[in-house]
Amino acid sequence: MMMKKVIVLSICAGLALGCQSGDQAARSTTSGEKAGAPVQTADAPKAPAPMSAAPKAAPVAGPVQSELAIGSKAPAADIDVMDVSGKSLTLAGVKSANGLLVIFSCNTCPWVLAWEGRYNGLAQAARDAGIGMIALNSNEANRDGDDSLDEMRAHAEKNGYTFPYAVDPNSAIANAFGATRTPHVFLFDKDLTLVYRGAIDDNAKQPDDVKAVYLLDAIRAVGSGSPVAVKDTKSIGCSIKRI
Amino acid sequence: MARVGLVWALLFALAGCGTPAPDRAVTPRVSPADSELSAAGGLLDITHSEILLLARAQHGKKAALVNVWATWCAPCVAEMPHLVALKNRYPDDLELILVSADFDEQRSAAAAFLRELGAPEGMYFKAENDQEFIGGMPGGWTGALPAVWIFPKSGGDAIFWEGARQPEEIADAAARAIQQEQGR
Repeated sequence: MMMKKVIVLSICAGLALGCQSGDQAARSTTSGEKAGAPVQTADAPKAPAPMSAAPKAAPVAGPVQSELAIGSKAPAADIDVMDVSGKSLTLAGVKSANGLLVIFSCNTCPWVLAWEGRYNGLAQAARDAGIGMIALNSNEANRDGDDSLDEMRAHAEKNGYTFPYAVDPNSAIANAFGATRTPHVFLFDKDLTLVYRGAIDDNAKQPDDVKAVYLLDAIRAVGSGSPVAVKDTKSIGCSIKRI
Repeated sequence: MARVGLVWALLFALAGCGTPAPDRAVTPRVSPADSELSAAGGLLDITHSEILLLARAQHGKKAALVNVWATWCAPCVAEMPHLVALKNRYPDDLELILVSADFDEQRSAAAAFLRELGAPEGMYFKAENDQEFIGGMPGGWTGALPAVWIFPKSGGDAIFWEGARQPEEIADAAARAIQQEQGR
């Protein structure tokens, strides 16, 4: 009798312990997060949130992918992101008739600070081309400090951003895109197919010495339904600060 | 002195490895500013071609660890003491090639930071546009800092990563690159 009880209790204990192990996200080595970080498991509601709703639980962030390839469809298009205005947005919702522009950005990286004076001009060009634009902050590791929503709001106000600037929760969208740094640009056409990725232009520090306006050219091409001539460029930036 | 040394290193690299000569003569640019900088223990201008030549010139003698960093890059600054410590641990087996991608205004701050750490020679400054510099380095680098390439002592492809890594991971990778036997 006693033996049976011990066995049953042991099995129950084993099952209970097994159920608590939780998920471990596999991570590739293309980004700088520490190995073995646990993934938060939470519900990710699909419906857009009314503004009076309670803050959403953070979505499950998938493993870091390699940089999204030209020709791929935009991933993570339905993940809810909290904008500095207090609105909850999605990439699918920000997309306009002719496409979508996503810039992974932050509040402190010197390359962002050097380039962001050009953000509003790009936003205007995007609007003119029927392309929706959003900047995302994926620095989850700094979410209690330099890259908090409050700091983002202050930064957007100080710089007069004319486009949404939203929190990428748990770097979920950066992971799906394989975004590596700030700033890192991804431009999609009307079918949410990636047609340009990489740099804003060829000169971070000297706007007057820019020779190649890669992103602006790509925006205009997408707006007029033409092929993008230079699809893939590179630029120095600060690595995204994942947890 | 360091400038002359670089020229000799490149000449030996070109002479010794038997590969076709590059399209242009690889002579580091010497400007008065550069000479003053190097005399003052500053950073030498470098391009991606020159980095790869320097790294591959170590084939058979040392492993080479290339690190692109910047004073603004917090993880870069945090890991730099560990890279210097690795060089001190393996003085005859590991060559450190540290390349600052700072803006010009931070160039002397970058040099001062490395000097304070007791960094050896091998302190450089990216002197090429991003597209060519990033695109010319192997391994699929997209431009994030820090970026590290470790060329094995026995030659062959470098291992590469971009983003921060734990000191133990860096040390393990360096140790493997030094001990790697031919054909592994």
